[in-house]
Amino acid sequence: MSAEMKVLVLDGSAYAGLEAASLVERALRLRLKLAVADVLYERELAARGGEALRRLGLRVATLADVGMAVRLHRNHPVLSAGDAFACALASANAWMLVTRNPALEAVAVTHAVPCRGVDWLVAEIARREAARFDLYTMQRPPRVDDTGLRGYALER
Amino acid sequence: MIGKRLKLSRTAAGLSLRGLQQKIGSLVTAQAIGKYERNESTPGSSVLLALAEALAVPVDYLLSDGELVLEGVDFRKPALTRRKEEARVQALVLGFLERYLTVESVLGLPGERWDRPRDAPFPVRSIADADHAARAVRSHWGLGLDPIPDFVELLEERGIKVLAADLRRIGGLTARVRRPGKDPVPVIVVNESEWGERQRFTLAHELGHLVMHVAPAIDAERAAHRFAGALLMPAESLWAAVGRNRSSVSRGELLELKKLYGVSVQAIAYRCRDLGIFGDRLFRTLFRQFSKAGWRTAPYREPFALPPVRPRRFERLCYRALAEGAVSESKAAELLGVPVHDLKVRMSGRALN
Repeated sequence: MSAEMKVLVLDGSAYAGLEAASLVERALRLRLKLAVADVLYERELAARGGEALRRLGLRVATLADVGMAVRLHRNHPVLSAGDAFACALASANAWMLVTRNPALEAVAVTHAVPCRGVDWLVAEIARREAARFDLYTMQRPPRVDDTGLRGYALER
Repeated sequence: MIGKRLKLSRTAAGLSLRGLQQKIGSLVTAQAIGKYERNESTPGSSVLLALAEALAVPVDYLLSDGELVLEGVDFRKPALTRRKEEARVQALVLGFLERYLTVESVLGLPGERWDRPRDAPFPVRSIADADHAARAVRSHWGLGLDPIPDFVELLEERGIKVLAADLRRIGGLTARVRRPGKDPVPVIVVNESEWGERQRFTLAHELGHLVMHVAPAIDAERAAHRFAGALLMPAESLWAAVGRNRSSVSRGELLELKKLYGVSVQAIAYRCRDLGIFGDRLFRTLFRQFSKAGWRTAPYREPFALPPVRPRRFERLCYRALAEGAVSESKAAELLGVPVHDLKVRMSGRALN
């Protein structure tokens, strides 16, 4: 399933990575469907601009049953509660987990949870920004210059 | 699934099932909370968050399997007689130990056994036996006769976990935390709001409880006091500093001794009396002076009060685990009980308190 179709669940490491590169807002403005677990949101984001991100489209997702998250947290001591809930959320909703944490990635693979790294997400953001630029220029009224070529081609 | 910890936390908060229902804005009924406690059902994440907030515990504390069992706490102590207080202390210690053992485990540290002195627990059939126990501990740990500069660090190096926490009206306590199939882990908790010299004495007192087996005819608290004085102020050292027999002593000299040994002036007076350096008359005179100076009543502030002790090993291990890639930032922050943002500030050295 392509990234356009899936909700992307960010764990704490992925969120921190995007935030450090000032990419969270850009990703949301590009209509990427980003979600964080409510456990992570309350702990890390609620007091630090979380509301503004929600207005931009950040989803704060809840788990109907915390069973899987509890098991992951207990069985994998290196995972934080936020990690475990992110993985359980992705699993419960067939969403894609995005993380920079190799331990979480390994657990996600074991549980057949689709998982990507932040590099992939950064590339996706770049791809979408490039596509938006193309779309913008292509929609401008075509003009013909003295070479006879269409404006779009010249501007590229 | 989260029943054990939920019930312990609710008891610690002094709430009934209905009280907890009200405190979470009736998100779920008291019956539903009862089912969570009996592990008959599991809440959703929004209810879990509300429960954690209402009970003033971190979410990860509720997620634990509750395999750790606290034992050996002297719940006869006056302030611990109430069930709520008992549960609050249990929750504090268990939460701390769980995080401590996690970070030791991910670092592969052999922190499971403490350096118990040979022949401990030492039998104490008379109060003076506490001196022998203190001497044996000093000998086993290679401490010589010098004052102990950092008592918390010493205990932590020897595998005893130390926690400074809000214990309300009591100075400290010792407990053992048992895990299935493993040796119990000793933990000493000191009241975070007391002066450093009192905390040091409390730590030594509680260590005494760990290493002595006191005969029923002997007051165990008195024996632990004697042990603490002997450990922090070895007889030979004190004799060299004060002499064998004194008929008077100035406040200035006592305060210099306080700086040397890191104990309260009152503890020095007690120790000097135990060793026969001060007679009863001088001892009584001193204590009248101490009372008059207000040193024997809360907040027990003597001149040259030491700042409260701060156990640092656990925090150091968390930083180390993060630096070595053994845990992620979010896990390190969870262990330290702070948001990731605050952890980054600490790691950068911008906040060094």
